[in-house]
Amino acid sequence: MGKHTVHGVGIGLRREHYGEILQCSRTIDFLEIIPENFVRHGGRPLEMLRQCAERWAIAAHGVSMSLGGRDDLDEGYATGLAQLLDVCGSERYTDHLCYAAIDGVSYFDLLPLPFSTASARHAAGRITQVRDRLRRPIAVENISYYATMPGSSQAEGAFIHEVVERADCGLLLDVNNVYVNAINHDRDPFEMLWELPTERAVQIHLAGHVREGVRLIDNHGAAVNDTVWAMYRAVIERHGPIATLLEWDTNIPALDRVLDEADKARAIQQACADARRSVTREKLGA
Amino acid sequence: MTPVPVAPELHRFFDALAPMLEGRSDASDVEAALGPSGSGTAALGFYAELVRRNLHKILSDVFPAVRVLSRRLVAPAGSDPRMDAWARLAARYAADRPPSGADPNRYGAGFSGWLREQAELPADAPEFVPALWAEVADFEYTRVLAYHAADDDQVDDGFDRRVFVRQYSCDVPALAQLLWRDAAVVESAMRPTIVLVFRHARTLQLATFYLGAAGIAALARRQGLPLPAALAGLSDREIEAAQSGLIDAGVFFAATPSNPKRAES
Repeated sequence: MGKHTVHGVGIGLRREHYGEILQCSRTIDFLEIIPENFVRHGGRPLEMLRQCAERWAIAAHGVSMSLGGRDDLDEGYATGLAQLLDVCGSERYTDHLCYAAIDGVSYFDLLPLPFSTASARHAAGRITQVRDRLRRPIAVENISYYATMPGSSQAEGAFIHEVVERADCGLLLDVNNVYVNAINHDRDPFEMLWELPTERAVQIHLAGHVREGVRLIDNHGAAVNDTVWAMYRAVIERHGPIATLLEWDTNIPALDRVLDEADKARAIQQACADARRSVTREKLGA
Repeated sequence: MTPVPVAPELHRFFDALAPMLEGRSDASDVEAALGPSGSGTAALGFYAELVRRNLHKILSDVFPAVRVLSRRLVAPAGSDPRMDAWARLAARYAADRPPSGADPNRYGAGFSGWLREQAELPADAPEFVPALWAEVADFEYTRVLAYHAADDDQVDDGFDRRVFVRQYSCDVPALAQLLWRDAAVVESAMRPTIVLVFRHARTLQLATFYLGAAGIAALARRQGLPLPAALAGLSDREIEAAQSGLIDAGVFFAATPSNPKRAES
């Protein structure tokens, strides 16, 4: 299994859709999996993955590698992950620019590092190690952060620039996270977007969020916000088509509803491609 | 992989954050150690709340029946009125057994044992829980293990990694079914029950199978083990019928074990 390339617009392979996804006739360009749910596991999830990988490209997006953490990277897990990526034919591995555990205690959350050169150097070193261990390129995702950590000496954008330059890795650009961060930190969403190294974006994530009191929470549990769509269009206009994942991980609706949302992203990619072709034709005509 | 050296300021950062994330200190302690957060103390402290929510959700997803049972707990005097009984139980478990490992489901691995420890406290202790809750938790967690267990390519003797044998003091699977539906539950009569909790060999669905004497004998025979004296009176016909029942239920794949070692024996 696993002979396809991640491109276009994909959705997450989620348990709630196991019963219908293999019969789905609508366009799905790729499926995203959380590898932690499959490494060292078997049964129905793995069987679903095997069948899906025959038909679709698989993008593996980890949540627990703790790339910014200080605990030793889990050798056993890395071995299992490399095997899974081989089996799925995944050309790239993506994870989050964060830490998730301290001294063996797992928090099951994506926790922000201080935005500093020391953190950037540390995370970049570990990203490089994981890339070499997995024998494939890595891209790291900009996370939602609800507080700037003490010890920060840079803006988020400069920090992420430093990490990806030092590690020479890709950026998984989560546009919803940029929006959530901008609102929560009283910034302009487009300004924050262009502070990121978007030229290194190899994949984009789109999702919904929820307001809880004074802050927006990145819960992947709603439709994509209009401003996030506008930001997405701006990225595609500037950089061309980039593989895009429509995330819906809580309050998961029927598959058709998720695909309706994914179709909006596909329509934006198509519109931007058409506009580029039109401009090219005009230039050639002139 | 050779560990990447950690800068001293990052060590200080992790040393200060860990107690807050685990509920043992608060954001002001972090700021006292590291300096202020540009977002304010409350925003920094929100991360402890996020972690608490994550652990609470994982336990809630894995142990829905125990969660229903927890409503029977009476709030101790002075407890936080914003926390229900389940939230208090989850918080105590998190404090006693901090989660480790990358797999969230494994966080529940120690919950049954921890509940058993609480059941050994004096019955009037605020932390006491009935012993049966540990058995319900064990059943629910065993289902998680059976669902996720790695596939066995060769073994098929009833003790594949997807098959678990459990003995309970009463019909715990039936009790859990009622609790999942949030039905009013009358405690089951105490009647030792041996049950297989497993992932169906073909459909991969979770299932349970109540094991009688003939079923135990069929399992033993499948593994080439001598029958215990107590089962010696069973006829071949009874044991073969039990084996057919186990195959029909999806515990075994087929009449003949696929494990070459078993086939040779």
